[in-house]
Amino acid sequence: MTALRERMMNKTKRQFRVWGSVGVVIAVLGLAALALTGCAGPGEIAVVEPTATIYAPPPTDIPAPPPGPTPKALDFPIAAPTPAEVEEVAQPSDETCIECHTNQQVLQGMATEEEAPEVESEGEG
Amino acid sequence: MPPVEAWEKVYISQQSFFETVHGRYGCITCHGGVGDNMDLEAAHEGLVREPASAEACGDCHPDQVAAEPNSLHSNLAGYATALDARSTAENMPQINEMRENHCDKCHTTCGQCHVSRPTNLGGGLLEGHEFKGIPPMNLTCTGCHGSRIEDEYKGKNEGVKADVHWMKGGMPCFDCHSADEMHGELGEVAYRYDGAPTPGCQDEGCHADVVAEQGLTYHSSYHFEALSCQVCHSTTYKNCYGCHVAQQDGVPYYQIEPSVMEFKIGRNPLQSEERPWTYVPLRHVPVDPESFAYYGEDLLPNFDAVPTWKYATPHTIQRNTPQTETCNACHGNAEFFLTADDLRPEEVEANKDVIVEEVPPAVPMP
Repeated sequence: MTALRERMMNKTKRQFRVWGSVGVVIAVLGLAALALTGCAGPGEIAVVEPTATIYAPPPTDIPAPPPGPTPKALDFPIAAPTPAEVEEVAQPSDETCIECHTNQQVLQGMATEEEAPEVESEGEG
Repeated sequence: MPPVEAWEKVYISQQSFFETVHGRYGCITCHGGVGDNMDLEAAHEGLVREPASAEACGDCHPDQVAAEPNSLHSNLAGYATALDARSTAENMPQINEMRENHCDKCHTTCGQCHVSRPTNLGGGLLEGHEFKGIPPMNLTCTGCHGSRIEDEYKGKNEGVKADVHWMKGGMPCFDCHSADEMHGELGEVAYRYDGAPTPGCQDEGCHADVVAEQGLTYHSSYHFEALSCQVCHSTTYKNCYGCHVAQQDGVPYYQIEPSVMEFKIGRNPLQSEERPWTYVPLRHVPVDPESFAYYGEDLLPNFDAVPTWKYATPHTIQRNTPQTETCNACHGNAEFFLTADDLRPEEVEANKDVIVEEVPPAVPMP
């Protein structure tokens, strides 16, 4: 058994040596061929006519980003209640109310001071 | 309080109001009147100067509006409680007429604090028509509670320092008196001091760490049980006497004696589990047996049923007061105690349960 195994091993070693030598020869030849191609003269270069430069189109007005939410002071300390869903109903026109009550001159012109009562209380209330 | 001219009372100075939640409802929705009419009288036909709370506010503020009938600002229950006790059912027609003429105008509503000055003070928008979540205390709270509370709290009484909560703390009214209290959301009460103290000095966030037998010698268990905080930590306050009401040519008026600055410790007329102290400061209220004589004879036949020296929580709180200078600044000092000698003859019986019969004796000093 030992002799048989020894023969088998020797055979395998021989095969490695043969195929190894062949591989080395092929590699050397390949490298030589690559070196020789580098020494060849350059091929003829075709001249290409220059083309006009293409510029990017000029920028157009970029729309401003939509404004962010305006910070609003919170009512301290009680948060405003969430109003119930309000149905859109036709509101009576109050334009004339606003017109007068936001106009200081108009109000001053129309106001009449209340008359003080003839009898006045005496002492701290 | 600064006066307001007639035009200014209805001047909406800020256009921005119309962009607010309340402003978007428009004028006529709450106030009525006639739109699209430039004639003064025609435009104001059917105008509601002060919209009813339930109708105007209830949709968005249901809890507050539901509680409003409990609010003393709304129901003035304190007046009814005192008058019911001192008068009789037979006298109620005259008493109610008197109340209507002289007392009920102090009633206030949502808008009279959050939008305008109270009507009793002549009204006038607070800041354009802005709705103020927290009403400005000088135009609303102390506008009505001025001669006693404001003068005490801000130190306007000659020789009496401002309350420490104002002087050092800068605390406005609502730091102690919550919105729930103002709105009646703490439940129904018959008068200001009905139920537990609101606020209580030892509430969480205030002086919860002040407990008996810890820290100061004066903070003994006996003192904590026998004395309200104000007995030691409040000082001189205003007392009123002899208010009489009447009418002249249909115009109601009152006359009252000059007030008296005093500090009087008496027996607790409202002693209860929630206010267990034996002694509290007492303040004289301006009623006397003839206060309503204009409206009828003997309208207060049960005048003696309740004291004229009432449970008080003066807004003159100080850490150190004349009473706390030494033990015997208070012990043995009759000046600080309400005794029979302090009473007018017509009110001796009414106050028999609140006077101090024996002033605490002086204690030996170490």
